[in-house]
Amino acid sequence: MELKSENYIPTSTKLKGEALRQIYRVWLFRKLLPVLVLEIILLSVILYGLGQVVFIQRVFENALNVLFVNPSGIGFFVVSMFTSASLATQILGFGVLILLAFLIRHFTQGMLRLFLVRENFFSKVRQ
Amino acid sequence: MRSYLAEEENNKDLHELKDQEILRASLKEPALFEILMERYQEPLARAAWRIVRNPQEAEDIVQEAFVKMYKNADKFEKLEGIEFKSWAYKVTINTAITHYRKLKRGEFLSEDPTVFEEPEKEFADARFSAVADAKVAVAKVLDQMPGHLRSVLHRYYLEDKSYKTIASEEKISIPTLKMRLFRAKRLFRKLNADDPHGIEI
Repeated sequence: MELKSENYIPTSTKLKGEALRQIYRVWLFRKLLPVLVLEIILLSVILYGLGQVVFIQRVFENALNVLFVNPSGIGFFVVSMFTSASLATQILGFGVLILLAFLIRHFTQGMLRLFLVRENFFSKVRQ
Repeated sequence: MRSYLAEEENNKDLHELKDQEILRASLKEPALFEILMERYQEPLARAAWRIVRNPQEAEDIVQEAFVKMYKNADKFEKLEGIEFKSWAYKVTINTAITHYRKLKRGEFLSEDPTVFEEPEKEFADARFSAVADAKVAVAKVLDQMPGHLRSVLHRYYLEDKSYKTIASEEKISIPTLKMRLFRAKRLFRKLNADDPHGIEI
């Protein structure tokens, strides 16, 4: 493509980088943060509920005892603790695990996208 | 993450996707917007430069325009029959004009009439696309108008017919046609102002 010299303006890579970072912020605040905040609120509510039915401090103390006395038995301890708990506690515990998984997933997605934006990944793919 | 990157690397058609598809995908994957930026960064910067005549400002305008495009991508999805390219030019030129006015340099059209003289092919293409998009928006407003007013407005502005031709087709005098056009324009402005997707007049 021929350009008249007076009309040609070289566009810097800084422009693209800065615009992409702003676009990432838009995505972060519009798409990711609302989901993360919702998950954190739900997790807090479930943890509060779990705290009402389980003496969490004692559970951790017991877990630490098992871990120091018999580290290989920690798996069995966790399984037996879960199976011997009431149905409500099992449901709440399961909810905590699922929400934690979602939180980690969304957090890593956010980090991955930040990496892709900072590294101009899709222009490198073409090259 | 490795599998994700590998998947993207294997996607040979990524850069062959249409603009609209990339824009849609970029709402989930913001880094994809970079492909659109690569495609249009330079032509949009030139379009902005023609208005502000300053490379640094032109870059700032393009940057701001890209962010606006991303923020309003949902609105663009709802517009029918409009190409991303012409929409991008429209956003950029509007942003450039706003910048220009903020800098208190006055109206660019009155101060710099060379802006639209001897346009390059690419700029002409963009203007053509913008005109095509405007025609779609105009057609929507025209549909809401009474037949006799819609007819004269359509013939004059969309079919580019002369007063004489329209007057003869409508079997009315030229002064009557002018009055009818005046009323039609007034109604059009009102309807367009009420339309959330209306064009800027």
